[in-house]
Amino acid sequence: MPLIKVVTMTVLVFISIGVTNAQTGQTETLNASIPEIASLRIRIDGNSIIPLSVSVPGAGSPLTGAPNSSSWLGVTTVVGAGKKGTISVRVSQMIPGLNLKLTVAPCTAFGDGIKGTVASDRVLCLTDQPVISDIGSMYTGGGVGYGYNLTYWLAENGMDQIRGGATSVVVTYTYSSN
Amino acid sequence: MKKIACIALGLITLALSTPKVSAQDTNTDSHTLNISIAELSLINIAGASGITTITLSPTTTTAGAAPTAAANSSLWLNVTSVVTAQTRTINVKTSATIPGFDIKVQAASCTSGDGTFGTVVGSPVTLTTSDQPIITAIGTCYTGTGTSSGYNLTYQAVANTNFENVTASNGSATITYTITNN
Repeated sequence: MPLIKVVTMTVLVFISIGVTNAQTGQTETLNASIPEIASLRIRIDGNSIIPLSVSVPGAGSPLTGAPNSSSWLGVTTVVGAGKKGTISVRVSQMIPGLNLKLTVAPCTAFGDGIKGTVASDRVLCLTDQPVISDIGSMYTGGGVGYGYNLTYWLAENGMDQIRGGATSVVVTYTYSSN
Repeated sequence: MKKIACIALGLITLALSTPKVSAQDTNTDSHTLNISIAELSLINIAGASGITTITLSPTTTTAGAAPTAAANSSLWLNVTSVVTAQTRTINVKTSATIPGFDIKVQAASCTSGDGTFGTVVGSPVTLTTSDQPIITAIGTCYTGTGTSSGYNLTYQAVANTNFENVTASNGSATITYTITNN
Protein backbone atom coordinates (compact mmCIF):
# COMPACT_ATOMS: atom_id res chain seq x y z
CA MET A 1 0.00 0.00 0.00
CA PRO A 2 2.74 2.60 0.74
CA LEU A 3 4.33 1.80 -2.62
CA ILE A 4 1.06 2.42 -4.43
CA LYS A 5 0.71 5.77 -2.69
CA VAL A 6 4.16 6.93 -3.72
CA VAL A 7 3.55 6.06 -7.35
CA THR A 8 0.22 7.88 -7.36
CA MET A 9 1.72 11.00 -5.89
CA THR A 10 4.55 11.00 -8.39
CA VAL A 11 2.17 10.83 -11.32
CA LEU A 12 0.08 13.68 -9.95
CA VAL A 13 3.13 15.86 -9.53
CA PHE A 14 4.21 15.13 -13.08
CA ILE A 15 0.82 16.05 -14.47
CA SER A 16 0.79 19.31 -12.60
CA ILE A 17 4.22 20.13 -13.94
CA GLY A 18 2.93 19.69 -17.44
CA VAL A 19 0.20 22.18 -16.79
CA THR A 20 2.61 24.66 -15.31
CA ASN A 21 4.96 24.40 -18.24
CA ALA A 22 2.15 24.87 -20.68
CA GLN A 23 1.28 28.11 -19.03
CA THR A 24 4.76 29.51 -19.38
CA GLY A 25 5.35 28.16 -22.87
CA GLN A 26 8.30 26.01 -21.77
CA THR A 27 8.88 22.33 -22.42
CA GLU A 28 10.60 19.70 -20.35
CA THR A 29 12.20 16.62 -21.80
CA LEU A 30 11.60 13.29 -20.09
CA ASN A 31 14.52 10.90 -20.63
CA ALA A 32 13.16 7.41 -20.12
CA SER A 33 16.07 4.96 -20.28
CA ILE A 34 15.07 1.32 -20.46
CA PRO A 35 18.15 -0.89 -20.57
CA GLU A 36 18.32 -4.30 -22.17
CA ILE A 37 17.75 -6.96 -19.53
CA ALA A 38 18.51 -10.64 -19.53
CA SER A 39 17.99 -12.49 -16.31
CA LEU A 40 17.86 -16.27 -15.93
CA ARG A 41 17.15 -18.26 -12.81
CA ILE A 42 16.79 -22.03 -12.49
CA ARG A 43 14.48 -23.28 -9.78
CA ILE A 44 14.47 -26.90 -8.76
CA ASP A 45 11.67 -28.55 -6.84
CA GLY A 46 12.90 -29.98 -3.57
CA ASN A 47 16.64 -30.01 -4.11
CA SER A 48 19.31 -28.00 -5.80
CA ILE A 49 20.70 -31.09 -7.51
CA ILE A 50 18.76 -33.22 -9.96
CA PRO A 51 19.28 -37.00 -9.69
CA LEU A 52 19.18 -39.11 -12.83
CA SER A 53 19.64 -42.84 -13.16
CA VAL A 54 18.94 -45.72 -15.49
CA SER A 55 17.15 -48.96 -14.83
CA VAL A 56 16.37 -52.18 -16.63
CA PRO A 57 13.12 -54.15 -16.38
CA GLY A 58 14.77 -57.54 -16.80
CA ALA A 59 17.60 -59.60 -18.24
CA GLY A 60 18.27 -58.83 -21.89
CA SER A 61 16.55 -55.45 -21.81
CA PRO A 62 18.34 -52.19 -22.62
CA LEU A 63 18.80 -49.48 -20.04
CA THR A 64 16.12 -46.85 -19.78
CA GLY A 65 16.28 -43.53 -18.01
CA ALA A 66 13.36 -42.12 -16.06
CA PRO A 67 12.63 -38.47 -16.96
CA ASN A 68 13.08 -35.77 -14.36
CA SER A 69 10.92 -32.65 -14.72
CA SER A 70 11.60 -31.00 -11.39
CA SER A 71 13.38 -27.90 -12.68
CA TRP A 72 12.11 -24.66 -14.18
CA LEU A 73 13.86 -21.88 -16.05
CA GLY A 74 12.58 -18.43 -15.10
CA VAL A 75 13.44 -15.61 -17.49
CA THR A 76 13.05 -11.84 -17.71
CA THR A 77 14.21 -10.08 -20.85
CA VAL A 78 13.99 -6.65 -22.37
CA VAL A 79 15.41 -6.69 -25.88
CA GLY A 80 16.68 -3.83 -27.96
CA ALA A 81 14.75 -2.58 -30.96
CA GLY A 82 14.79 -5.15 -33.74
CA LYS A 83 16.61 -7.71 -31.63
CA LYS A 84 15.71 -11.24 -30.66
CA GLY A 85 17.11 -13.33 -27.87
CA THR A 86 18.22 -16.94 -27.68
CA ILE A 87 18.80 -19.19 -24.69
CA SER A 88 21.42 -21.86 -25.22
CA VAL A 89 22.47 -24.80 -23.10
CA ARG A 90 25.65 -26.81 -22.62
CA VAL A 91 27.03 -29.40 -20.21
CA SER A 92 30.34 -29.62 -18.40
CA GLN A 93 31.05 -33.17 -19.50
CA MET A 94 29.68 -36.02 -21.57
CA ILE A 95 28.72 -39.38 -20.11
CA PRO A 96 30.30 -42.35 -21.88
CA GLY A 97 27.69 -44.52 -23.56
CA LEU A 98 24.76 -42.33 -22.56
CA ASN A 99 23.08 -39.30 -24.06
CA LEU A 100 21.77 -36.69 -21.66
CA LYS A 101 18.63 -35.39 -23.29
CA LEU A 102 16.56 -32.30 -22.61
CA THR A 103 13.07 -31.20 -23.46
CA VAL A 104 12.06 -27.60 -22.81
CA ALA A 105 8.33 -27.11 -22.48
CA PRO A 106 6.79 -23.85 -23.71
CA CYS A 107 6.05 -21.28 -21.03
CA THR A 108 2.30 -20.91 -20.83
CA ALA A 109 1.36 -20.78 -17.17
CA PHE A 110 2.33 -17.24 -16.27
CA GLY A 111 4.03 -14.07 -17.39
CA ASP A 112 3.68 -12.04 -20.54
CA GLY A 113 5.52 -11.03 -23.66
CA ILE A 114 7.24 -12.80 -26.51
CA LYS A 115 8.44 -16.03 -24.99
CA GLY A 116 10.00 -17.41 -28.13
CA THR A 117 10.02 -20.88 -29.62
CA VAL A 118 11.33 -23.94 -27.84
CA ALA A 119 13.42 -26.44 -29.75
CA SER A 120 12.64 -30.12 -30.02
CA ASP A 121 14.48 -32.63 -27.81
CA ARG A 122 18.18 -31.93 -27.52
CA VAL A 123 21.12 -34.21 -26.84
CA LEU A 124 23.25 -32.01 -24.60
CA CYS A 125 26.89 -31.50 -25.50
CA LEU A 126 29.89 -29.41 -24.49
CA THR A 127 29.04 -26.52 -26.82
CA ASP A 128 26.09 -24.18 -26.61
CA GLN A 129 22.97 -25.24 -28.46
CA PRO A 130 19.88 -23.04 -28.74
CA VAL A 131 16.86 -24.36 -26.88
CA ILE A 132 14.64 -21.26 -26.90
CA SER A 133 14.87 -18.82 -29.79
CA ASP A 134 13.12 -15.69 -31.09
CA ILE A 135 12.68 -14.33 -27.59
CA GLY A 136 11.37 -10.77 -27.30
CA SER A 137 10.71 -8.70 -24.23
CA MET A 138 8.97 -10.86 -21.69
CA TYR A 139 8.86 -12.28 -18.20
CA THR A 140 7.87 -15.76 -17.16
CA GLY A 141 7.41 -15.54 -13.43
CA GLY A 142 9.90 -17.15 -11.14
CA GLY A 143 9.99 -20.24 -8.96
CA VAL A 144 8.87 -23.82 -9.26
CA GLY A 145 5.92 -24.05 -11.61
CA TYR A 146 6.80 -20.86 -13.49
CA GLY A 147 8.76 -20.42 -16.67
CA TYR A 148 9.98 -23.15 -18.96
CA ASN A 149 9.76 -26.63 -17.48
CA LEU A 150 12.95 -28.61 -18.09
CA THR A 151 12.82 -32.37 -18.51
CA TYR A 152 16.03 -34.41 -18.43
CA TRP A 153 16.55 -38.08 -19.13
CA LEU A 154 19.28 -40.51 -20.12
CA ALA A 155 19.28 -42.58 -23.28
CA GLU A 156 21.70 -45.33 -24.23
CA ASN A 157 24.26 -44.38 -26.85
CA GLY A 158 26.90 -47.08 -27.10
CA MET A 159 26.18 -49.76 -24.56
CA ASP A 160 29.71 -51.07 -24.45
CA GLN A 161 30.99 -47.72 -23.13
CA ILE A 162 28.64 -47.51 -20.15
CA ARG A 163 30.23 -48.07 -16.76
CA GLY A 164 28.66 -48.31 -13.35
CA GLY A 165 29.31 -45.43 -10.99
CA ALA A 166 28.29 -41.89 -10.13
CA THR A 167 29.17 -38.64 -11.84
CA SER A 168 28.03 -35.03 -11.76
CA VAL A 169 27.30 -32.87 -14.76
CA VAL A 170 26.80 -29.11 -14.63
CA VAL A 171 24.19 -27.81 -17.06
CA THR A 172 24.52 -24.14 -18.02
CA TYR A 173 21.93 -21.94 -19.68
CA THR A 174 23.02 -18.68 -21.34
CA TYR A 175 21.00 -15.88 -22.89
CA SER A 176 22.29 -13.95 -25.88
CA SER A 177 20.69 -11.51 -28.26
CA ASN A 178 21.23 -10.78 -31.91
CA MET B 1 7.98 24.36 -8.71
CA LYS B 2 10.95 23.63 -10.95
CA LYS B 3 12.63 21.89 -8.08
CA ILE B 4 9.61 19.66 -7.62
CA ALA B 5 9.59 19.00 -11.36
CA CYS B 6 13.20 17.90 -11.28
CA ILE B 7 12.56 15.58 -8.35
CA ALA B 8 9.53 14.11 -10.09
CA LEU B 9 11.42 13.55 -13.34
CA GLY B 10 14.24 12.01 -11.40
CA LEU B 11 11.87 9.62 -9.66
CA ILE B 12 10.21 8.62 -12.91
CA THR B 13 13.52 8.15 -14.69
CA LEU B 14 14.79 6.09 -11.78
CA ALA B 15 11.65 3.96 -11.76
CA LEU B 16 11.90 3.26 -15.49
CA SER B 17 15.59 2.60 -15.63
CA THR B 18 16.06 0.37 -12.58
CA PRO B 19 14.78 -3.16 -13.17
CA LYS B 20 13.76 -5.14 -10.12
CA VAL B 21 16.14 -8.01 -10.64
CA SER B 22 17.90 -9.94 -7.93
CA ALA B 23 21.57 -9.20 -7.72
CA GLN B 24 22.35 -12.88 -8.32
CA ASP B 25 20.32 -13.14 -11.54
CA THR B 26 22.35 -12.65 -14.71
CA ASN B 27 22.12 -13.76 -18.29
CA THR B 28 23.38 -17.21 -17.34
CA ASP B 29 22.50 -19.82 -14.76
CA SER B 30 23.49 -23.41 -14.17
CA HIS B 31 22.67 -26.38 -12.02
CA THR B 32 24.06 -29.83 -11.29
CA LEU B 33 22.80 -33.20 -12.43
CA ASN B 34 23.89 -36.19 -10.39
CA ILE B 35 23.99 -39.26 -12.59
CA SER B 36 24.08 -42.67 -11.01
CA ILE B 37 24.63 -45.82 -13.05
CA ALA B 38 24.14 -48.99 -11.04
CA GLU B 39 26.13 -52.14 -11.74
CA LEU B 40 23.87 -54.79 -13.20
CA SER B 41 24.22 -58.49 -13.95
CA LEU B 42 20.98 -60.14 -14.97
CA ILE B 43 20.54 -63.36 -16.89
CA ASN B 44 17.46 -65.26 -17.95
CA ILE B 45 16.82 -68.43 -19.93
CA ALA B 46 14.15 -67.95 -22.57
CA GLY B 47 12.16 -70.66 -24.30
CA ALA B 48 9.11 -70.66 -26.54
CA SER B 49 5.95 -69.86 -24.58
CA GLY B 50 8.08 -69.49 -21.47
CA ILE B 51 8.90 -73.22 -21.41
CA THR B 52 12.51 -73.86 -20.50
CA THR B 53 12.35 -77.66 -20.03
CA ILE B 54 13.80 -79.57 -22.91
CA THR B 55 13.92 -83.31 -23.60
CA LEU B 56 16.82 -85.24 -25.05
CA SER B 57 15.97 -88.81 -26.08
CA PRO B 58 18.97 -90.74 -27.33
CA THR B 59 18.02 -93.61 -29.60
CA THR B 60 19.11 -95.40 -32.77
CA THR B 61 17.64 -97.59 -35.47
CA THR B 62 20.97 -98.86 -36.66
CA ALA B 63 22.29 -102.01 -35.08
CA GLY B 64 25.75 -101.45 -33.70
CA ALA B 65 25.46 -97.69 -33.53
CA ALA B 66 25.52 -95.79 -30.25
CA PRO B 67 22.21 -94.10 -29.42
CA THR B 68 22.26 -90.39 -30.16
CA ALA B 69 19.84 -87.54 -29.53
CA ALA B 70 19.02 -84.79 -31.92
CA ALA B 71 20.56 -81.50 -30.86
CA ASN B 72 18.16 -79.10 -29.17
CA SER B 73 18.60 -75.36 -29.84
CA SER B 74 15.31 -74.06 -28.50
CA LEU B 75 16.66 -72.11 -25.55
CA TRP B 76 18.29 -68.68 -25.42
CA LEU B 77 20.29 -66.95 -22.75
CA ASN B 78 19.31 -63.27 -22.27
CA VAL B 79 21.73 -60.98 -20.47
CA THR B 80 21.93 -57.38 -19.29
CA SER B 81 25.25 -56.37 -17.77
CA VAL B 82 26.70 -53.05 -16.62
CA VAL B 83 30.28 -53.26 -15.39
CA THR B 84 32.64 -50.75 -13.83
CA ALA B 85 36.11 -51.78 -14.91
CA GLN B 86 35.91 -55.55 -14.67
CA THR B 87 34.61 -58.13 -17.10
CA ARG B 88 32.27 -61.00 -16.36
CA THR B 89 31.96 -64.71 -17.03
CA ILE B 90 28.90 -66.90 -17.37
CA ASN B 91 29.42 -70.36 -15.95
CA VAL B 92 27.24 -73.42 -16.36
CA LYS B 93 26.75 -76.59 -14.30
CA THR B 94 24.27 -79.41 -13.97
CA SER B 95 22.55 -80.78 -10.89
CA ALA B 96 23.21 -84.37 -12.00
CA THR B 97 25.03 -86.28 -14.68
CA ILE B 98 23.35 -88.95 -16.82
CA PRO B 99 25.07 -92.35 -16.58
CA GLY B 100 26.62 -93.37 -19.91
CA PHE B 101 25.92 -90.04 -21.61
CA ASP B 102 27.60 -86.69 -21.71
CA ILE B 103 25.30 -83.69 -21.77
CA LYS B 104 26.99 -81.00 -23.82
CA VAL B 105 26.02 -77.41 -24.35
CA GLN B 106 27.41 -74.71 -26.57
CA ALA B 107 26.46 -71.03 -26.69
CA ALA B 108 26.36 -69.27 -30.04
CA SER B 109 27.59 -65.72 -30.32
CA CYS B 110 25.03 -63.03 -29.60
CA THR B 111 23.99 -60.97 -32.61
CA SER B 112 21.14 -58.99 -31.06
CA GLY B 113 21.19 -56.08 -28.63
CA ASP B 114 24.27 -53.94 -28.08
CA GLY B 115 27.49 -53.82 -26.12
CA THR B 116 30.40 -56.05 -25.28
CA PHE B 117 29.03 -59.58 -25.52
CA GLY B 118 32.26 -61.34 -24.67
CA THR B 119 33.56 -64.58 -26.15
CA VAL B 120 31.70 -67.85 -26.28
CA VAL B 121 33.68 -71.00 -25.55
CA GLY B 122 34.52 -72.48 -28.91
CA SER B 123 33.66 -76.11 -28.35
CA PRO B 124 30.71 -77.74 -26.57
CA VAL B 125 31.06 -77.81 -22.79
CA THR B 126 30.53 -81.22 -21.21
CA LEU B 127 28.40 -80.48 -18.19
CA THR B 128 29.48 -81.49 -14.71
CA THR B 129 28.25 -80.57 -11.27
CA SER B 130 30.92 -77.86 -11.10
CA ASP B 131 30.80 -74.47 -12.76
CA GLN B 132 32.58 -74.19 -16.11
CA PRO B 133 32.84 -71.05 -18.21
CA ILE B 134 30.71 -70.91 -21.31
CA ILE B 135 30.93 -67.15 -22.10
CA THR B 136 33.86 -65.00 -21.00
CA ALA B 137 34.96 -61.34 -21.13
CA ILE B 138 31.46 -59.90 -20.97
CA GLY B 139 31.36 -56.15 -20.54
CA THR B 140 28.42 -53.79 -20.52
CA CYS B 141 25.75 -55.16 -22.81
CA TYR B 142 22.17 -56.16 -23.31
CA THR B 143 21.16 -58.99 -25.59
CA GLY B 144 17.48 -58.45 -26.14
CA THR B 145 14.79 -60.50 -24.51
CA GLY B 146 12.99 -63.74 -25.29
CA THR B 147 13.73 -66.36 -27.90
CA SER B 148 15.83 -65.41 -30.91
CA SER B 149 17.66 -62.86 -28.74
CA GLY B 150 20.85 -63.36 -26.83
CA TYR B 151 23.06 -66.45 -26.86
CA ASN B 152 21.43 -69.48 -28.49
CA LEU B 153 22.09 -72.66 -26.45
CA THR B 154 22.52 -75.98 -28.20
CA TYR B 155 22.27 -79.16 -26.09
CA GLN B 156 23.38 -82.60 -27.09
CA ALA B 157 23.43 -86.01 -25.37
CA VAL B 158 26.43 -88.01 -26.51
CA ALA B 159 27.23 -91.56 -25.42
CA ASN B 160 30.47 -91.69 -23.47
CA THR B 161 32.86 -94.48 -22.67
CA ASN B 162 30.74 -95.76 -19.78
CA PHE B 163 27.91 -97.08 -21.87
CA GLU B 164 27.62 -100.06 -19.58
CA ASN B 165 26.03 -97.72 -17.02
CA VAL B 166 23.11 -96.82 -19.31
CA THR B 167 19.68 -98.05 -18.26
CA ALA B 168 16.40 -97.36 -19.98
CA SER B 169 14.87 -94.73 -17.72
CA ASN B 170 13.73 -91.16 -17.45
CA GLY B 171 16.08 -88.81 -15.67
CA SER B 172 16.21 -85.11 -15.24
CA ALA B 173 18.83 -82.52 -14.44
CA THR B 174 18.69 -78.84 -13.71
CA ILE B 175 21.15 -76.71 -15.65
CA THR B 176 22.24 -73.53 -13.91
CA TYR B 177 23.90 -70.49 -15.47
CA THR B 178 25.63 -67.97 -13.23
CA ILE B 179 27.20 -64.64 -14.16
CA THR B 180 30.18 -63.58 -12.03
CA ASN B 181 32.71 -60.77 -11.89
CA ASN B 182 36.22 -61.59 -12.96
